[in-house]
Amino acid sequence: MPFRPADEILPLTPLSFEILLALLEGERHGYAILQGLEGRLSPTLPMRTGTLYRALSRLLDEGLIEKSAADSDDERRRYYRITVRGRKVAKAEAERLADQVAAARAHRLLPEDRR
Amino acid sequence: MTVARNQSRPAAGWSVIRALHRLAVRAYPPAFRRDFGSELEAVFDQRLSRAMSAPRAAGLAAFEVADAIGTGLAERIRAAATAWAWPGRTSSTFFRSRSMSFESLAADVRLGFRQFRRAPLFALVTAATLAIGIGANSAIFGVVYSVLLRSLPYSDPSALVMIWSNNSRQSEPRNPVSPADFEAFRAAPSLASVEAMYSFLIPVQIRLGEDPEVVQGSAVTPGMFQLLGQPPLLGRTLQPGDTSSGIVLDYGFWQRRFGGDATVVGRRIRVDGFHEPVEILGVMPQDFVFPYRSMLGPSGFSRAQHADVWVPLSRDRDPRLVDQTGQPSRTVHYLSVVARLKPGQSLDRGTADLNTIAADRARLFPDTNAGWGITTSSLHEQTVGQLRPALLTLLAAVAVVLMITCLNVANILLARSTGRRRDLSVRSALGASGARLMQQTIVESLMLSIAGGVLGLALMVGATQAILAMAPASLPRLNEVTAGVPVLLFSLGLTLVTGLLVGLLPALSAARLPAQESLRESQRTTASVARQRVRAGFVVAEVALAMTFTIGAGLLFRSFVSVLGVDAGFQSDGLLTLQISVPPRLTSHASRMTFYDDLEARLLALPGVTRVGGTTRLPLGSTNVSTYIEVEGRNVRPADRPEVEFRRAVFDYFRTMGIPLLRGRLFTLEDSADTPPVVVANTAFVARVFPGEDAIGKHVRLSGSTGPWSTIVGVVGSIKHGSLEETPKPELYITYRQNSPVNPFLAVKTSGDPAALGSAVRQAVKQAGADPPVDVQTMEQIRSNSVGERRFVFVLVGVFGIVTLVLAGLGVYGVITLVAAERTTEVGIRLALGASPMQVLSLVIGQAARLAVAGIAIGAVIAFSLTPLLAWQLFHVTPTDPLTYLSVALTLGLTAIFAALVPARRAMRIDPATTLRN
Repeated sequence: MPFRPADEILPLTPLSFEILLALLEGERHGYAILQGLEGRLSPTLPMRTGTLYRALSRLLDEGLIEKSAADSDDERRRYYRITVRGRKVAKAEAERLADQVAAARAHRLLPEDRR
Repeated sequence: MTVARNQSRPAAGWSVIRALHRLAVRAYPPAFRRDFGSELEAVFDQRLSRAMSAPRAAGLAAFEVADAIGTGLAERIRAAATAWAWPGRTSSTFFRSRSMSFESLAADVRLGFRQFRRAPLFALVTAATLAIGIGANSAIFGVVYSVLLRSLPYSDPSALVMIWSNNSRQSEPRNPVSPADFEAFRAAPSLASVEAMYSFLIPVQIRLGEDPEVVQGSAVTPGMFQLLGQPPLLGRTLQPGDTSSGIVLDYGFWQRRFGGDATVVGRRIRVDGFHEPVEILGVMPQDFVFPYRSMLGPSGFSRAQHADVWVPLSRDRDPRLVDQTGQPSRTVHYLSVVARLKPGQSLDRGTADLNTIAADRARLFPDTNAGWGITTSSLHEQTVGQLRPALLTLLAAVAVVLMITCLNVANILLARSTGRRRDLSVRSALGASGARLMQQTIVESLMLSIAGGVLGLALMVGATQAILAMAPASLPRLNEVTAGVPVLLFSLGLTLVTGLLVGLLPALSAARLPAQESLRESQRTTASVARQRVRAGFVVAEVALAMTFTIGAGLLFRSFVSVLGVDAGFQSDGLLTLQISVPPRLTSHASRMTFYDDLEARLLALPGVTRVGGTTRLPLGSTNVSTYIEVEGRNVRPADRPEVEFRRAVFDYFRTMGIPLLRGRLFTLEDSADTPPVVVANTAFVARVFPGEDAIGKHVRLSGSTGPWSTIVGVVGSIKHGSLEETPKPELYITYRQNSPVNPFLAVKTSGDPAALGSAVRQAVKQAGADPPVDVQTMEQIRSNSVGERRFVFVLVGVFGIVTLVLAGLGVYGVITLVAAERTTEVGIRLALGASPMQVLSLVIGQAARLAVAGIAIGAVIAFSLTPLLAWQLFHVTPTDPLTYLSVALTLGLTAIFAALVPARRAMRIDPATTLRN
């Protein structure tokens, strides 16, 4: 099915963006994504399995991630990886966020980036 | 990264938790479960086994199960909405569209206007239909709000209560209070103040110029105005401790009689019953009304609805308020008592205090107070409580009208959207999301409903005027009905809700349009099966509502007719009634008799007059006075003595009124002040006081009296006094020749038209030396007015009933037309194959009949279950009266068939050749 233009999908939900970030390094299976997110986000985002899989389902529908071919009938071996489109969208989202952060800095909400 | 398969399995107890989680996962829709179900469970297993401790694991399990159920259900809802609204697409594409903003709103409005310009008739008809529903509802709501909801025109009215005496032996649950009890009630600790007034309005004769006038007055204790708390418009009000007398004027009376002249305050005028001229203390504001009719005595109804003046109530001026020893009377009950609760006190508290006082008094004075308690109600409830059922019925009725209106309009819009599929397809292909299309449709229907609302306002104003004109005077607070802000807000809210309601289904159906079906040339003018079912469903619902409603109206109609046909026990045709005052200078009985004889002769001399009679309490046309009587030879203490209604008969009363004599004799000219006192009783009295005995010759007298015993000389038929619907009460009559009244009602029987007799009668009264009579009406008019409330409800419901019938008919017409148009090809084929036009006719009519029968059946079932609610309004008709059900069903059925005739005949005339060619 045809996908929507990238700029119609933005902004991504925080969870979707985090999932894409997690998959940028390589393909992961569900539990690994979960662990990575918990490591990074909890306690701000207590990670619930059902919520995660809903988000995965959305991302699959939008074509931002895809299931890895390897061993997809073993439930513990089902991997997900980011698609080209997903990378493009993640990049666009990151740019959007950076733009917002810059505006926040301009208003002195955040300290200047001294790096 | 692999999972350590040989990690020690969790304890067996975990299998329960895992089973629970598996169950929770079933909350997800099947498709989702197929894709991710086992994965979800595996991940959960892993997390569980990695839990650090048992409590942590339990917590995790709990959250995960809850999350699974929650997100599962959310997924289901989303999937269902998507699948239905946007087949083949995902829900995300349904909702997200950049073009949802206020600019789009403006575009939709512009588009709406363009559409209406293209089809002005449709827009007008739809707006007008909505106007009927909205306008009628706003009008009725205006009445309900002003009468039921708005607070009374006093200060802090929620703290005001009314106190009644009650005795389980008595027929009425609320009786006026005796003066002695009233004084005692003032001691109740939770009441800040307690005041009283006569439980009836009194005629007050004032002398402003040459001729005296009789106005309606309310006699109140001096502290009453302070209790009510409403400050006067001019001057001041009665105050406790006022040594000199004064009266207070009602605003309307002040305007009418004094032209709004502010200098009347302080002026002194002569008032009957006061030795010296009385000062006008002040004028009350325009919105001040006191007392309301329902605050007065419970039985009968007075023609006087509104007090023109307030006069002080005092023991000095009214000998009935004290007994022989000069103490406040314990036996005469005729005060209406109003009290104000202390801040923070509740009505229950006040009632408990008063009950204690009443119980004490019953112990202290068993002969007069045994068995007497109290009842209380908030003043608001007392004023309008009786009316609540009737008004709520009207509100429900008018809501049904609105529902039918909405169904009609929704059907119209739905049919229209079928024809606009192409238009919608194009817009969808150009990128409008489903939500966007929905918005446009809703905006359109809102525009229609706003137009309807505006028209409805005009209708509301007109309808309110009509309702007020038709309403009986006995309806409280009707003069306070205005179209204020609350009513307008209600109307606005109703308009918006209506717009959303009627637009909902067409909007949803507009949104369902798959974009793939865009610009194909197949102009499908046939609606899908689902839509046809919806349409048919709407019409069946309309017919069902109309059926239920009209049955209710029919039952009310039959009750009304029954009441009209009630035998009141007297004849009301050919009678002119009026109320006179005996000239006050005639204080001796003898002088009054001379006056009466003279008046009688003058009246009998008028052309056409056959009989003349009179009474102190006119049936169906005045209040009641009840009293207790003592029977000679029976040793009954005063508290237990029978309560009877008490009247004086003037002239040839019984024969004038057509009340039959059943035993003994009527009063004659021989009965006079010098002969032993006699009384005439009615059959209800005999049944109550002398059951199974012959009452003739028995001796009775007023309870507490020490005078001579009166002898019962005759028994007359019982009449309905308070209303046509009541059972007759025991009545005792004494003759004017032994006890002359000062303000009797007269009844003049004529062989001609009683209404034409008015001026001649007035003339005769004047010539006899009395002041002009008041309340000159025919008995027929009085009888008609007495059913005023019933007539009011019936007329309104009847009007609505006709409207619903018409709307239901229109609904059937609309749907059948559409159906017939859609089946043109089919009909053409049938005709070509040899079907006769009559068969085609019966085909179409048959369709209408099926819809109607379904609606009638459903409506009958609903009516069956709901009409017992109406039972309080029904008279001599059961809620399941078969005659009503059948006749309404027949009417509706015929309406539906009639409505289907036009499209049916059109179908008959289809030329098969033309249709087949297309």
